Amino acid sequence: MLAGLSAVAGTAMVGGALPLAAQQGKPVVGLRYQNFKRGTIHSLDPATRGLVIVWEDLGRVKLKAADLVINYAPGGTKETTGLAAGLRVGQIVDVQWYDYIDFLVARTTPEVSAKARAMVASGARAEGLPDSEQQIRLMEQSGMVVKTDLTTYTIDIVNPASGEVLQTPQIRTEEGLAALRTLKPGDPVTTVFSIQTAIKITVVR
Amino acid sequence: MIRSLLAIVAIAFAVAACDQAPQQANPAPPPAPLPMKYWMVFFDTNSATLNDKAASTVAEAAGIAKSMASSAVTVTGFTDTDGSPAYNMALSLRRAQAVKAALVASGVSAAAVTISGKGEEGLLVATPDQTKMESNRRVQIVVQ
Repeated sequence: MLAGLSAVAGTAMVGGALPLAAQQGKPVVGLRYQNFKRGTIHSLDPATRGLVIVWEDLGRVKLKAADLVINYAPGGTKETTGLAAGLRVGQIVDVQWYDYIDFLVARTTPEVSAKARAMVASGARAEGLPDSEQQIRLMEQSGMVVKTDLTTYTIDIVNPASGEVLQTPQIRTEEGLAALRTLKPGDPVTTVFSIQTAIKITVVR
Repeated sequence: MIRSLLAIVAIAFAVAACDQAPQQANPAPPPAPLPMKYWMVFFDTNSATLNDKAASTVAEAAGIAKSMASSAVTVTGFTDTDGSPAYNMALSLRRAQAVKAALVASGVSAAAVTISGKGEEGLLVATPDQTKMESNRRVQIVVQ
């Protein structure tokens, strides 16, 4: 039940009727998680369409560029990217992006694991981009709870395969927070988060 | 009286305006926290021997430590509550020493590794005394 509640967290928060994608079972990242900020490109990873931006005020953040970011192609030219030249390290850019959201926070069971795998396979949709097939990728973090932090709303999870302990992004949905409060060290947990995804990057200079 | 007060306030504003420093650049952002990664390896009951999985984890940690300039590695051993506290304190230290030895064998400088044993302190999962619990029989490796 808990898993079921938490699994729709990203969709339930948008209020009113669920978007079509949510009705079809695909998680939706709500508009309230869309951000806009100016920063400097620190690095680019063309293999994954990844980029690291150093904000003017908040340190750095790792993002994936959605296929809507037509000027992503690092080093590309106006001819190769269509509308704009490609991005380069050092450029100051305005970025519109969707933040992390928890879609699943639950004690691990076979059903929860299967649900997590299905969610990751399907990806999420970004609310407000109805004509886009762009998916926001989801990531799963599972393992044993090492620590829960009710001030930062995060969980430290030890990966059973590697032994590495990773901290989840901040849990933000009511369903996820309710699940967080039930967890304690030693519990097996499965989480699914959306990946921070840029949908528009405008080069300032 | 009121007129005097108003005059004082006006003077204060004028002085403040004259003293106002030219527009300063935004203060530099605080330095980024040191990158830190950590791992846990688990042990069999009353054992300080690394199994294959633990050895693999230690090797990964060693690889990260070697890739970071001036990295410091902190290795802390723990036990469950099975056995006496004194014995467990020594056991936790042996576990930490075993992990340090594996790190050094993987190429990490011995001088960069600090070890300690906590025995039954800092249980990951709270249990009564004399309880075998794998998740408490562990070593934590912190690389930063």
